[in-house]
Amino acid sequence: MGRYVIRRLLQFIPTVLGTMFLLHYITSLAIQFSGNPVRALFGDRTPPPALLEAITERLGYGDPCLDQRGNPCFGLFLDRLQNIFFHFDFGINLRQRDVTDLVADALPFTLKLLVIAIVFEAVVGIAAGVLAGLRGGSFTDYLVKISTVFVISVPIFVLGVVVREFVGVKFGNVLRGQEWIPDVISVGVFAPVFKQEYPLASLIIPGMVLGAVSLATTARLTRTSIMENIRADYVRTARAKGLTNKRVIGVHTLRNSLIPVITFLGVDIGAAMAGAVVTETIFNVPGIGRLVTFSARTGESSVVVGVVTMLVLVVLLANLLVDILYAVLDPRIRYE
Amino acid sequence: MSDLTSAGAAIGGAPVAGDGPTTDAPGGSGKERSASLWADARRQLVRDPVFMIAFLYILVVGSMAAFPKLWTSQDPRNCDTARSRIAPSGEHPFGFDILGCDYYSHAIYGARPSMVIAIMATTAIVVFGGVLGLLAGYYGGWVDTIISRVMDIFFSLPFLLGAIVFLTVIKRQNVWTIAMVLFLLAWPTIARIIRGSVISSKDLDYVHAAKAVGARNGRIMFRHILPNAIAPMLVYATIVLGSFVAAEATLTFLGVGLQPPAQSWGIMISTHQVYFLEDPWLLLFPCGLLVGTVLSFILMGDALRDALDPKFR
Amino acid sequence: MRGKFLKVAVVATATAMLATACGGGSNDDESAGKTGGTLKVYNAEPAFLTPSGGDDEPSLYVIRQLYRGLVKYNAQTSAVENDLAESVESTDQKLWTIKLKSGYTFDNGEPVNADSFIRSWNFAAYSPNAQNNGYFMKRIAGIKDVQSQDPDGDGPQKAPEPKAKELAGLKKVDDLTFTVELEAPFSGFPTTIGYPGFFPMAQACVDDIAKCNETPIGNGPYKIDGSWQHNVAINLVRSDSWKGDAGKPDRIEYRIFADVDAGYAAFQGGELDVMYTLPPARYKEAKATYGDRMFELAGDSFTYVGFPLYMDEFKDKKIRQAISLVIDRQSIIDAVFDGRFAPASGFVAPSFEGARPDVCKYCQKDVEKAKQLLAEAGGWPAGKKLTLWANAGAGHDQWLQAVGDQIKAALGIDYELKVNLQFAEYLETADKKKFTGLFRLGWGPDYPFMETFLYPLYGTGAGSNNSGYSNAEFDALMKEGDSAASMQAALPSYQKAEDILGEELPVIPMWWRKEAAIYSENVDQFVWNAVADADYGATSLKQN
Repeated sequence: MGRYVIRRLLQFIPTVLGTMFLLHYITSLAIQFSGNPVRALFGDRTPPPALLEAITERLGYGDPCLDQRGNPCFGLFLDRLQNIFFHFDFGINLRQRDVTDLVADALPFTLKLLVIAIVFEAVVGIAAGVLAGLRGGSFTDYLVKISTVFVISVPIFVLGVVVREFVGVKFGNVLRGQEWIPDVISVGVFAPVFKQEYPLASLIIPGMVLGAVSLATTARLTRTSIMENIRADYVRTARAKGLTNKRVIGVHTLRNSLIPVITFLGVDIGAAMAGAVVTETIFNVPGIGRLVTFSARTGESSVVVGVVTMLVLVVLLANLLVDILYAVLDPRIRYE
Repeated sequence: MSDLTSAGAAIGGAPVAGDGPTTDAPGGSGKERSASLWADARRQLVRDPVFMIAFLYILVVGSMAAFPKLWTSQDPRNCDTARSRIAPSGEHPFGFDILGCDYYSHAIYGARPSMVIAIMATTAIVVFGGVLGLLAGYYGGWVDTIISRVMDIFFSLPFLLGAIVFLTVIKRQNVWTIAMVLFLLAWPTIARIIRGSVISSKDLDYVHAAKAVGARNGRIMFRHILPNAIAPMLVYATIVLGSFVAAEATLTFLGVGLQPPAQSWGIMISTHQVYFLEDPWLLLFPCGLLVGTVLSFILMGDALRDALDPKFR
Repeated sequence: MRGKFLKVAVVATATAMLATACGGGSNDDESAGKTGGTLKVYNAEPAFLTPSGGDDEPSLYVIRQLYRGLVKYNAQTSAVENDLAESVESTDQKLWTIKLKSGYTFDNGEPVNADSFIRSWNFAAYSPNAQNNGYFMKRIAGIKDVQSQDPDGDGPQKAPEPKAKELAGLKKVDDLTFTVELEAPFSGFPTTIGYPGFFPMAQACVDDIAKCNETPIGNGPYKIDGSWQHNVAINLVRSDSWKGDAGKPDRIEYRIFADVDAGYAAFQGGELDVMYTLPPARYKEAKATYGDRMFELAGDSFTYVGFPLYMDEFKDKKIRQAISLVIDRQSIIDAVFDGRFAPASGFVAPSFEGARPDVCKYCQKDVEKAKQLLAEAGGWPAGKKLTLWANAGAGHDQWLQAVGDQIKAALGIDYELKVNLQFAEYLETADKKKFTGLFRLGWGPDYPFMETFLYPLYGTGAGSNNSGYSNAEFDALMKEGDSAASMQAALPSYQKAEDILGEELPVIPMWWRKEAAIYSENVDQFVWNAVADADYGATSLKQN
């Protein structure tokens, strides 16, 4: 057990460094090939070279290796690692704010959104999956299958915009016209976009849109897993022992079937963060996803890389924890 | 686009990163049995109406992509702003877009980039991911460690974020570069599936037997081990084709996908989504085609899995 | 990064105003709207909240309520009126004497005096401070000495310290008087200093600029409540230290959106009182829904298609005229922009004093004449594709494609689009004159004076002359206007210069943006300043 954990931790280090280097190299290439992002700050006006130079210097884009196309900028990479690991400094944006500050501001919103999304996909996804799995081939099974797959096939940005316009604006305005509906429902939950006054209520619908994407996978995974387990020997044994159907399904089948589903949900946090890029933009949630989209649109690669590096660290850590947890739960793994 | 990685998870079994063994690789089946497996599968698929409908739909879309002239004689680039956003009529079944180009012929010609990107990227991940997964699973040890770490590096980049980062750097946003980015970000999943199924089948008796009679590594890998991995790979590849078609549209929406005057469903959707309250058909036609395609691929993948996995019989 | 960056100017004629504030001048504001209430407005995330740093629309909208400057612009006539200044005078248009009114203070109690202005302008101009609005100090004498040049262009060596810390052209006479010496005479100087880049800053602000950016120390009618909640909101409340005309709402809340479509959805859901801009595709719908609560004004934001005059193909002006003649601007505007823009037939915004219609003789569609001109010029090289450039991701490819379609249909010249460069790289391509075909660019005025549309774009070697146009006669006429005795006297020279452009067409004028704002039923009177745009402090709410 201990050896497995240590081995896994040792593997973690090169992965983190490799990922960070990949990101570093990509941004260096971006600046080498597409020019100084500071220039775009001035738009149609051509700034005096001295001013451009000063701002560039302050943002740390002044390193000469950024002028040589293809140069991997190892020096800059080492500086960056030092800043990250010793000073917890992920760089600054074009407006001279620390990326760590930007992320700290944005993180609470994204976390709330993620929690809502994950809860939604877990509850609805597992319920749908269990229904479908227990009655494989039935009408319910097909209904769940078609509806979940349909949700996957609609691009999330179309889904988001349609929900915003029809649920948030059209339906919400009808609700807001009714006196008897409490504000928290009409103004909060059905707000077209994120609202400061209702920081949790107004995130429910965006969270559901975000969760909808993985909902399908959760449901399908549960279905597969249930269908496998229901044929397993230990379930047959349980039935043979004369246990009630309820107990067989509820305790024996479900508990075992949910292991892969729950691990999936854990890993899905990373994917959901990426999905937040679109959802947050559409619903104006001031979270990390909107930050990344905005920075990508304005060419602020320093922010994109800073934020993505942080996210990747989180994802990798989550993977590491899930693996270790898995090893604890499943004895086959640690003796591999 | 979490469906990209997660779709793989749903098929490959254990979705966990790292070294967890994949649990539901198809049971070890010899050459003879696998032949009958495929025959069985074919029989079952032909009888499955969902699969056949999806298959026919893909054939239709495929023919649009390959031979657009079969479907329309109009030139999608023949535009006139005077005809901007005219509603569908008998002669122009999809109406005109905002620049006054015939929307139907646009949609037909738009099938090609979407399909070409999906097919190229999928072929690439199957070949590249397959080979790396095979090597990692078969040799284990250092080879496995290195390949697994590289997989982890790419795997840790959330799909959309990674695509944004790559595509803003590459600049040349055409069919080739988008296919390449999709490939770069998606190959680890398939490599992992193959690796898992190779690990679970390399200790089987007939493999040991082949080794004992002195078969070379290459022969063992390709003749004895790989066939076991083909079923899950095929299923995953079918589903991933669908996700790639959808991914092209999402990337275009985020401003890092194909650029006009190229025509693709993604461009049609993201250009016209703002008009959907006024002129909903501008969004509905390309969206319908796209959703139909993605849906068909996923349903085909589902049916394939059910047919190929003996446990579901 | 779309659209323009500066929002400083317009001289709207009275007829162009669909004025909301009724009655005559701006002095009857007291009777016009009631005070009180909370105004919730749409905004994007500002870049900076300091006068020296903020140069983008979202920043300026906030800064103009937090700070006040020497002059302001009349809401209807956009004439320059003194605000904190007692007088702004000069005899030779080169040395300007500015006298201040007394009794104004910053929110922290510091007085607003000659030092506050000199301090602010020096801070902006000194290049190591890296302030965006340093650009606007370019006319003040001594600017070269406070901005250091990099010895080897883009290379590895750092730029040295500038020679001087302060602008030699700024001199304090007494507490309430200072003089400004310009590098060259400029009759339009008084119009420029109403731009927020010229607003004063407190010593405490300059001492800790980062803190002042988060919690501004202003001198205007509003002060910040709490501090800047990045990406979420900025809340302002009435400032007690302000001595001038009080603002109408008690509180202004700027809600920050990253996406204008999301902002529009929030407005539809009743969460905003004012949106100063609209998503382009929703214009028709908004007009139908909010008709009487939509404010429209001919704008001053210029979109043009430039010719790379450094390429041989475009050296003959007949080619340029022919291409301009085949573009049907109105039909593109109708198709792509819901008819929201006004086709351009000149180079100066129609709302500006001195602007005339039809300066460009080749801006109405006339395919026959175009074919004839093209033939006279010897035709277009057979088989060569015309390249059309625009920056990526800002929605320009749509209309540029329509332009290409029209050129192809009329002159048989096939085209290709080059629309995949992000704005930064695109602008660098422009600076380095590396376009290989027609390129789209825009221009917003820096101040309400005709000159801002002419010299910076077409003067020989001027900063934003991306076509590489050079004409001695044009340059001479501009100089003549700059040193004229008054702003009025300068106009004829500028007009003659514009006429040259109308014949030579270094760029194809396309259209002028129209401003469109919507406001909610809570708003009693909505005020739009012709120069400074939506004026939230002057907008009043219905009181129950």
